[in-house]
Amino acid sequence: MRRLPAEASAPELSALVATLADTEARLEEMTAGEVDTVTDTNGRTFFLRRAQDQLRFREAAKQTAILNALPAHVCLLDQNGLIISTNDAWSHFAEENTHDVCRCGVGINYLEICDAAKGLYAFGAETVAAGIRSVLSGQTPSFTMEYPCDSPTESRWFLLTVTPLLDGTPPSGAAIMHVNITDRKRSEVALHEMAKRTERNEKLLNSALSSMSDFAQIYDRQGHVLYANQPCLDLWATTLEDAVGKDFLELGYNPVLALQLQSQVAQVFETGCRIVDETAYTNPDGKPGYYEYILSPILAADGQVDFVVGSTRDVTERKSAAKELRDSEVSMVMAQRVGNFGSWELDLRNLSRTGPTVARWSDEMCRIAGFEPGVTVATDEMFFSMVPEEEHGLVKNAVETAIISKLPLSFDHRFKRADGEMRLLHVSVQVFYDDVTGEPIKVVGTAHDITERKQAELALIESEERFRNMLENVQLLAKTVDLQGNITFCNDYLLRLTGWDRESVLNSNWFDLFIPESDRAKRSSIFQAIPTQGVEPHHEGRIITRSGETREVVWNNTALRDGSGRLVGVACIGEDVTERKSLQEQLLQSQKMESLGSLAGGIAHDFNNLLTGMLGYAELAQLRLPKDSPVQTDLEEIRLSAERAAKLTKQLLSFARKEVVAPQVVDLSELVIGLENLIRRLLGAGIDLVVRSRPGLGRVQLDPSQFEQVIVNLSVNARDAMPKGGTLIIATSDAKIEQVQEVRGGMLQPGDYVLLSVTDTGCGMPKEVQARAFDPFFTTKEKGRGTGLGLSTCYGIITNSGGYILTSSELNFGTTFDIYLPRVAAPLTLVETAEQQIAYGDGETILIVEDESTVRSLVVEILTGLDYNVLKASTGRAALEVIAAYGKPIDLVLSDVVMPGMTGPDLAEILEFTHPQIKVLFMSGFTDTTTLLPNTFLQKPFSPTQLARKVREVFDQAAQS
Amino acid sequence: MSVETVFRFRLFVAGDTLNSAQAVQNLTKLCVKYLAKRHEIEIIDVLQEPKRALKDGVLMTPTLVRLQPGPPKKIVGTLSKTDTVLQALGLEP
Repeated sequence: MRRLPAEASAPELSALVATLADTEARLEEMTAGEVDTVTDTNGRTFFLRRAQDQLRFREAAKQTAILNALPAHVCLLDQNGLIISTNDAWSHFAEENTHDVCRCGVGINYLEICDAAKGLYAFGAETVAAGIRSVLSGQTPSFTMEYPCDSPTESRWFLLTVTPLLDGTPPSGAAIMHVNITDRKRSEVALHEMAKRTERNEKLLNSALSSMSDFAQIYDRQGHVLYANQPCLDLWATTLEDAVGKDFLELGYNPVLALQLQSQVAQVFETGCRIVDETAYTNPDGKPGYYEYILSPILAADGQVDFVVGSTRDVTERKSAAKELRDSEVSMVMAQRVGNFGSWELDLRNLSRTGPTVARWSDEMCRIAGFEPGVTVATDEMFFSMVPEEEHGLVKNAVETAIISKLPLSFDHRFKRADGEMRLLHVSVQVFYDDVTGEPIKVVGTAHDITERKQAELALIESEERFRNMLENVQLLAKTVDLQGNITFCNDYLLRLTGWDRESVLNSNWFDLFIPESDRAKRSSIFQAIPTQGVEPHHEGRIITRSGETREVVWNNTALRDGSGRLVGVACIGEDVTERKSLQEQLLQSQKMESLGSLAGGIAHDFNNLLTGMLGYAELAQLRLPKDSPVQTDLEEIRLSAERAAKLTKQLLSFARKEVVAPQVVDLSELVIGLENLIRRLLGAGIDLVVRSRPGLGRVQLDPSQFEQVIVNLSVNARDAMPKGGTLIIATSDAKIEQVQEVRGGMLQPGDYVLLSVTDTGCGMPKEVQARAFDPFFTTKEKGRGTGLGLSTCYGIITNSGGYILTSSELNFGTTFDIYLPRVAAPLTLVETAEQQIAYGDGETILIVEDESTVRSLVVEILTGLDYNVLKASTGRAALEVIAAYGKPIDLVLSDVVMPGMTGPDLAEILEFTHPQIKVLFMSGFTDTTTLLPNTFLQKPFSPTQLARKVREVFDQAAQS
Repeated sequence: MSVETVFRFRLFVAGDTLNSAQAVQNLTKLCVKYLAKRHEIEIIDVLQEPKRALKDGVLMTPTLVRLQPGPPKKIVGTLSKTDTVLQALGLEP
């Protein structure tokens, strides 16, 4: 809505306008004058007065500003030629120019000034005035004139234009513009002169172009020839006049090429970029030739392309050389592709210290690095960014070394491929030198991705290592030999076992070095037959160690063949079975001993019964005859013989380890002294026996018969250790241990002991023998001479008695066994002597249970003679019947242990239940490992005295408790 | 008010009239000073797009519409009284 003029005629309208004006004023008040527009509901925008004023003011100001900004002098004339407005430039100009023609401002008639102009500066004033009049009258649309108007200091040119104000015909006025065109005028003059020069240049250019061997042309946008040099015209076989204006087709190019060239020319016009291309042709002699042509743009001042210059050159020669090079490059690329090796070149002359240097990478090198060939420009910086930092030194050193040493160099380095995968490259570098200066020119490297190969190698090494480890760890001998029997490989275990070092073994002959001479011929002939007979898969044989020891080995053999399947040798894995075999033998031996022992035990049982009879009756006979009877000595001889036989039996039982442990408190010295004669006989003539024992030492508790065995075993060992004679010293003494000592089988505790030392002056034991001396089945004696049980039995007996055994031995000087037995406080166990009183009974009832009639009768006779009431039974069952039938109390059952049917212990068990008041005494020449209480057991054979005492002891003990 | 809050403004002007031009200047200065890097300004010329002014219910220029944060809020005028404007925008100086 526009503000209506205040002088609107209708009173209503006036009122409306007033209201609107008020509203507007109110709005402005309310918005503090900060609002520009208001909008009605239709979206029409109404400017408030202030905004309108501003807009109007600004529009006018804008126009004035524009006019004032113009360098041209502008003024407005009214219809009469009166100046009504001027711009700044006009006023300025008017002030500067003091002459009449320009002393003109607003209010002055411009036509009058022109008309009045005279003199030097009035040049063309008349024409100007006529022009203005013509425009103002509407006769001409505009008027233009250039005229010189020199200032006092310089020559000037002005352009005057007269433009009518287009508001009617005739116009209400005109605008006069007055521009200083001195510069343009000067340029035109210069241009004219330049054109003259250009003509000369063109001639020069023409002659220059024509003297070139290249064919030069200039084309316009449509591809028409504007110019061609003489060689080109010769090629086309035409003249310049003829050629100008023709296109490629018209010049006789083949249509395909013509079209291509035309479009390329157009392309250069369009893009402003030059094009380099090639085209093939055929020589008159039929050989192929090549032209290289360059289409370059000639740019005008405005950057647009004016012309295109073509320059064509015959490159046939260069091309064929390049083709050869390219062919070889192609085959190189193929070779690299196939061989999967890349190559790179680093120009050492361009090696700058500051920036990255471009390295030439072959396509395959790019692929190895994980790039698309031809896409990435490789630099040494990029290369090093792909090499792990810790290997930079390696690569740089290698290149430097190659430069210094002038020798090709190979090395491996890791390389992080573009996809991030770490690869291993095998690189060979070679440096090339300038022929003249000898300076290094470039480094050429070939790179081969050997990641997989290396992995395979590592895997192979690892598997070999594993295999080797396995061979070592399984403790098997491993060797390979060639067909001559020379050793090509052996494992450490074989070396350890045989004591040889690898140097002596490798390439030595297996049979000479390891096979005992006695087996050599046989083994060798089997080996010689391998090519015809094949390899025997298993065999058992002996080998000798460096020290001459023989080992038994079980071999597994495999033929070794080379890649073509030819037999080249034999691989053998062997197990050392020496110990196993000897263990087997020992086991056999001990099993034999065991059965022998059982046999001996069985015999001893029967034998003891016989001896009991012999001893008993001889003694009875002695008792019954007068002491001075001449038969007494005969009977005594019989008794002594029977006693010796009893001892022999006992030894047999000991040997079979079936003896009953019957510990007694004894004086060790007495035991040793008692054995002196026996030992002396065992040792034989060559060995002196020295016994250093005196009775009255501390007492020890042990089974005397077992301990006798210990002493005998040690003496026998000593004897065997002194085959050339010597001295055996057996000594006993009291000993006190102050500090704990570690000994075999435990700790020797401080305390009082009785020490028994057995010392020989024999061959002594080496350390390893000492270590194993007490092992069961260990023996250094010849087969059949020792069981390997002697010392282990001793050890067992001593430890069972709470004692310790210590060994000290020096090779070639002898061995000492020290046996420590703990002292006990208990009184000595009484040992019966021949002079002892016979112990009589007091009418007690005794039942004898014995399956052996001789023994049964003897015992019945002895006990009856000792005032006992004696009953008898031959079996356990019979005994029970006798007890049941007897009716009166029975005081003691004296029973054999081993009987057919019910055994002695079985019977005792029953009696314990049915008649607990009956005491039981066992008698036996044989018993299993059952340890019986000493006071309830009578070892067969026994003498009547022993029997009488034992029976009495049982009754007396019962009476005491 | 968290630092991340972004202020979105729409300023309705009428061409380059005096008050509108001032409003643009004032708003820009204010945003640079108090809402650096957390403001967006859209300037709409009602002479060019009268319908958008109608759509937003803008009947005068210059009018500033605060679109975010909070419910839309309009301020009419040249925005020359900075304290008042900040208060109106919920940005106590």
